[in-house]
Amino acid sequence: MKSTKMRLSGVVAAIGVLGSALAGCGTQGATTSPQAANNATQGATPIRGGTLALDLSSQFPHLDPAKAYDTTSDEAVEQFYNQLVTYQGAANTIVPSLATYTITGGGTVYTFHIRNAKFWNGDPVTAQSFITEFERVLNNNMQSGGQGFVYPLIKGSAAYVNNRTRSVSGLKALDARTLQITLLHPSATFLYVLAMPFFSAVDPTYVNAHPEAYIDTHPMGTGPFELASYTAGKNYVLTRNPNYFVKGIPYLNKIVFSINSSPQSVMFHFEQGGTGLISWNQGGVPAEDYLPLSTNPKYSKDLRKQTEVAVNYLGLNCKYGPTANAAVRRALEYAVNKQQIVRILAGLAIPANQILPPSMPAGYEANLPKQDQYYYDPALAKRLLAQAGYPRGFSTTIYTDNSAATDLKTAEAVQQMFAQVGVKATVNQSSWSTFLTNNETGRQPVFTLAWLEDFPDPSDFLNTLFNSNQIPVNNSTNYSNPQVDALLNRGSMMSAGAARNNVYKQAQNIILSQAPWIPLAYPVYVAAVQPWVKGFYINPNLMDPLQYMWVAKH
Amino acid sequence: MISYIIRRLGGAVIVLLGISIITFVIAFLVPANPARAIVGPHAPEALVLQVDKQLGLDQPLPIRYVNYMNNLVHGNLGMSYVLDQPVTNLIEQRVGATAQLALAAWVLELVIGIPLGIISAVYDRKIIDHIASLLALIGISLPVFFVGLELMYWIGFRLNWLPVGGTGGFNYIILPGLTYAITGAAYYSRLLKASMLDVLSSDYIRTAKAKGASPARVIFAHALRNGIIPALTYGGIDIAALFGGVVVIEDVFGYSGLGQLAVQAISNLDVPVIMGTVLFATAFVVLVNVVVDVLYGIVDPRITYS
Repeated sequence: MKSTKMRLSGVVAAIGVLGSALAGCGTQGATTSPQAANNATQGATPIRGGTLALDLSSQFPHLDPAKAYDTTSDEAVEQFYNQLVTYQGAANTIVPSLATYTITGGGTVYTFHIRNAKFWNGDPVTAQSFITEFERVLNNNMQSGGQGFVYPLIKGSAAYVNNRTRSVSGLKALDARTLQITLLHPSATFLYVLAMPFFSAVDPTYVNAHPEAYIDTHPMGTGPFELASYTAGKNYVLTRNPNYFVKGIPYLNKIVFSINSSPQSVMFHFEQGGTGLISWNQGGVPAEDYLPLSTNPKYSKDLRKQTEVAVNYLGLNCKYGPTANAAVRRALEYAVNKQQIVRILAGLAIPANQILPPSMPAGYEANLPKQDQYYYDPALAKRLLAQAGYPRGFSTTIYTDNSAATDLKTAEAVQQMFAQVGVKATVNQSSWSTFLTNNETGRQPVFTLAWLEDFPDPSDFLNTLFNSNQIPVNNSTNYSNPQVDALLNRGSMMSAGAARNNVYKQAQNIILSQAPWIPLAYPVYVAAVQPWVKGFYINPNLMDPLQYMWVAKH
Repeated sequence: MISYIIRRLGGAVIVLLGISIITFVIAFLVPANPARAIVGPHAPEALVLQVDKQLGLDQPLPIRYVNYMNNLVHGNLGMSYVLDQPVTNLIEQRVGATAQLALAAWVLELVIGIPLGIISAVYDRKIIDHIASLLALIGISLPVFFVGLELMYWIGFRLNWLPVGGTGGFNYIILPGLTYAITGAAYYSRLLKASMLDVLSSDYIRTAKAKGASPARVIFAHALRNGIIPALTYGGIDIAALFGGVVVIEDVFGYSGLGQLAVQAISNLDVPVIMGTVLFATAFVVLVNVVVDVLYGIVDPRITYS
């Protein structure tokens, strides 16, 4: 699950935006169209028609929105399906998609007014289209990665998951096109959750008529592109949905995803002009191809970069081995040269000094308190290790997985840096599922990992990775602090706003002072776009905006 | 002959059984629970346990093996953990692509290797032989991925004569096939040269020459028929291995074949797919070996099976 790894979770927030939505509790404008702003910045009139050819790193693992939870699958699922709400353009702002909404009941009752839209087969989108999908995601047999986002948050979801009821009491069709969702408590992140592909509109008639395996390979959505054909191992052909509910788009007639897993060949193909884009279809431009492209004047201007809402980190086990001692962990913070880690990542990263990335709309601290500021100073690290009772260092193991070449290089670099302060480390590399299994034992003393947001709110990083109720799966360092738990639990019940931001700030400051992580780098995402491919932008929460893209004469 | 074939097939079943046990045990000795990787980090523990149960991973290893073999004899190789599709479908989707590539690679190998071997034998220790041997040595020494990348760069990218990679029609198998042929042809030419030299110095060839048969007739009708037997043996193993997946070449060219499926499965520890591709490749090697043995009898009348 390579790409899934980076698609782990996330909660950083467009809290300001959410705040106003919650405070206003008013109906949002129905026709906000991100492409208007987008085209304005492009300064050109989109050309209709044409084909966009893309190389795809592997077949799409899943086309069923309930099952898709990796960036490759989402690249397609976002073309085939729509959700209640989505993100505006390149921003973290939530805007209506298939529905406008009002929020009442102190932030616990969401009422959605569904637009007049149709599936490709002509069936109308109704409230039941969403209720069916929520039930699919909640159903244990579906093995959906989305279950944890709405269970137990939606009222009655627990009873449904445990087979005590046949329906979810918090999901109601007030009429054919009005959907009411009731939550157990207010949630500042629920609209972000609804923008995830898990919670797309599906056609209940179609879903009930076909087995799961069929739905996973034969999508039936409302999206801008339909799947016209799939030739196993060769390509996917997508054609324009002429009845798309957003007027005026998509521009392209056809998109062809040709399966090609060879990075060299993909790069040559792009340089020949055979493909239009290297982006999420390939998981971005790989680090090894970035330098040659960025130093070549012919292509350097075709590169688009954006700091991901993600962080690569070194986890230090807080319960097991010498790192159980906070003084040891704090000492090691001074042993790691983050500039060198950035060089290993081909410069496609920013050195990290805290848990939340600067690309997170809220929560990043420009000025950390003094006790949370660490810097590279091996001599100091050595002194602090001696004070902590390890004048001769100790032996340990750094666990890493094989999903990216840079992971092993990072682990090996850390190994050398640790050696300089007397800590002898061996590196253990394994497959992702083996890594996870080892991780869940809670006995990996040191490990490399990354966290990519699911949605832009600090709770996705802090609550998921440091709340003691997340041990051992996401809180893999076994970090446990009742004071931090109390703050995080309070934050998850609060409405968005400055007070909530402050809670997360306090939590982050306490966590950093106890050093369960050595934050290494904030990765930078790079896409290569042909000059004749227009309308491209990067939204940190979504994959490629193919519906807004068009091909100019070339 | 029939009883021989039956005996060989019986042996093949035992080989397959052995391979299945070894692969199964190795794959499951690595501590890896795919359930968490499937459902992602936000899934509640109950869901992970449920997935465990659905995959049958809550059972002890011997029972899992018995279940697996039971499914296997019913033609069911299980479901891929990563792609959530039947392994038989995945193999079926890719076997055609691999077969095309394997055949192209094999034919190109023979087209390069056999003439090279004959020339080397006929012009033994002459300048032509030295040149042919040198070419063979270079081919055999070059790493496959290097040849693949060079061909991709020069013929695919710079000259733009053929696709740089991916999967499709005939165009797409030439470069990968040529890569395999360049690095593999030398095995044939060397085997053929050695056996041809042996044959060309034998009595019946001298007789044929003395009877006034043309040099071409002597070489092709008399010597080659005998001299090609070692190459035939190797050819059988070669094509069988190719059908199991042209691992490195498929990887270099991003070609969607069985080899690539196997590589991806191994890096993801997708055990059912690993098992499926390994068993498929094994079955092929075993089967082709039987066929080659039978072919011996046809090519060489001295070999009989009783």
